Amino acid sequence: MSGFAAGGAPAEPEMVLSVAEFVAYVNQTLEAAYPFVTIQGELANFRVSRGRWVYFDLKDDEASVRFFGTVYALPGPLEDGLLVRVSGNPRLHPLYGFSVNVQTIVPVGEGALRRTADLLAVKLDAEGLFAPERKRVLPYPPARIALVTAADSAAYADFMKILQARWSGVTIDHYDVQVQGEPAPGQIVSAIAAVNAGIPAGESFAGGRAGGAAAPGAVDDGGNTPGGLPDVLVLTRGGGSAEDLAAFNDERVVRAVAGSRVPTLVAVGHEIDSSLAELAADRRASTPSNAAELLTPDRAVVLGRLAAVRSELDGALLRLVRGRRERLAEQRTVLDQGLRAAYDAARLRLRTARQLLDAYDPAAALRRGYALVYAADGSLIRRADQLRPGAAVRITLSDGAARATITERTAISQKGRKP
Amino acid sequence: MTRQTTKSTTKSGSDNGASNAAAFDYRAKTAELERVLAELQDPDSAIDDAVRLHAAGRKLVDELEAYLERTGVTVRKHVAAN
Repeated sequence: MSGFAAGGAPAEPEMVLSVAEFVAYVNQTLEAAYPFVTIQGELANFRVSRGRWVYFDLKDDEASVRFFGTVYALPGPLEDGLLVRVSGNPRLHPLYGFSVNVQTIVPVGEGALRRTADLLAVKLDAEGLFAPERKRVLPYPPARIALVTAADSAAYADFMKILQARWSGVTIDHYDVQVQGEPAPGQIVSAIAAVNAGIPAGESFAGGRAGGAAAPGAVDDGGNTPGGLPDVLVLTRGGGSAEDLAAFNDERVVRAVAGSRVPTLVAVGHEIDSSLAELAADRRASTPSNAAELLTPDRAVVLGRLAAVRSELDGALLRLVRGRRERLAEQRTVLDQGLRAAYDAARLRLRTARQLLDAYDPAAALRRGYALVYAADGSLIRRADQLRPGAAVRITLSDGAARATITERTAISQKGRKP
Repeated sequence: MTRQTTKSTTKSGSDNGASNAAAFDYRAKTAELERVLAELQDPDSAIDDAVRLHAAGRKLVDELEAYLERTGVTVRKHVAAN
């Protein structure tokens, strides 16, 4: 059926192929010989058509190859001149000639990685993904943490070590993913989606890291896992080269972090230049250990504080009781003072009355030398005109009495003169 | 094929520490303790109320201390195979 002969020389009568047949033969050969290739080169003639189709060339000093794909395969914004590694399927298109259908594009080298990250940062910043007002406060301390990282990584070990040393009672839902290499972005995005879907223990999440064959009945959940969303999602890994950390600058990962319903904390073990995933997160930490420290208080400190709170409770009650006692004492004083004032007022009134009574006591006037004159009938003589010469009267003095007869009466004028 | 396993570890080795921890709402208990403290600081509180608040506060502190000393960290593995 082949239209080609070994050595290029026709061994049989030459078979003439149609163009379509030739294209089909070539594609069949490519599929068999080069079903999937990875090519590294400098990006040239990069363009995006209608927001979906991507065209570019990869070139070096000696050759140039055309590529075709969709924007979904892009790690983020790209530009000519970047060194990239592209994987895909070589194909001969019936109309447009040879190209490689792009599956993945990965920037290569620190310069290209930094440049692509810068381009993506500008784009996502313009969309507001890094805006401070988007940041949420992480629940403190969380009761349930979704931890997205590699199980066999130092980051996982460090995070768990610090967490267990500092705090208790927290549940970790660990999503085992690769954090570097080509599968990393897809696995991380799938894990973040699973966290936000509230997939409880015992159910699967797609795209995670292969963990080996699962024996029937190997799931050890017991069916008692509470559902719902965790309090916080932690995406973390240790430090590494720019290429190692590339997944944390991947647009899909950054958007997944920014779009997470569950509050996010991203910690990458490096201090220089935050990754875009860190910028998109609600909070970043400098290392996995630092992430555990930020999420939880120190158990010993909290226990010490609780002891202080116990004393504070006792002290507050004592202060309240003491305050009430003081208030009662004040009220007692006020009552005593009121009673004393009432008593003093009564005494004053009594003294005044006594003085008044004394002032009106007739005996007092007699003691001062005055005398009372009574008529024979016992009536008190108040005026001289009640007396007649010869009338018998009785005179009362302070120390005794006497009887007398009136011999003469003399009137006293109002001015004290005799008439 | 996907598998997912759960592994629990507790610092104290308590059998039911993890389930107790799951039922215990540390943040809610802490907030309740703060409220009790604030109310107890009010000099106008009635003595009966203050005694009740004091007892409630002591109980919360006991519960929080027990929680911190008893429970460990529970790890549930989510491992998915493509």
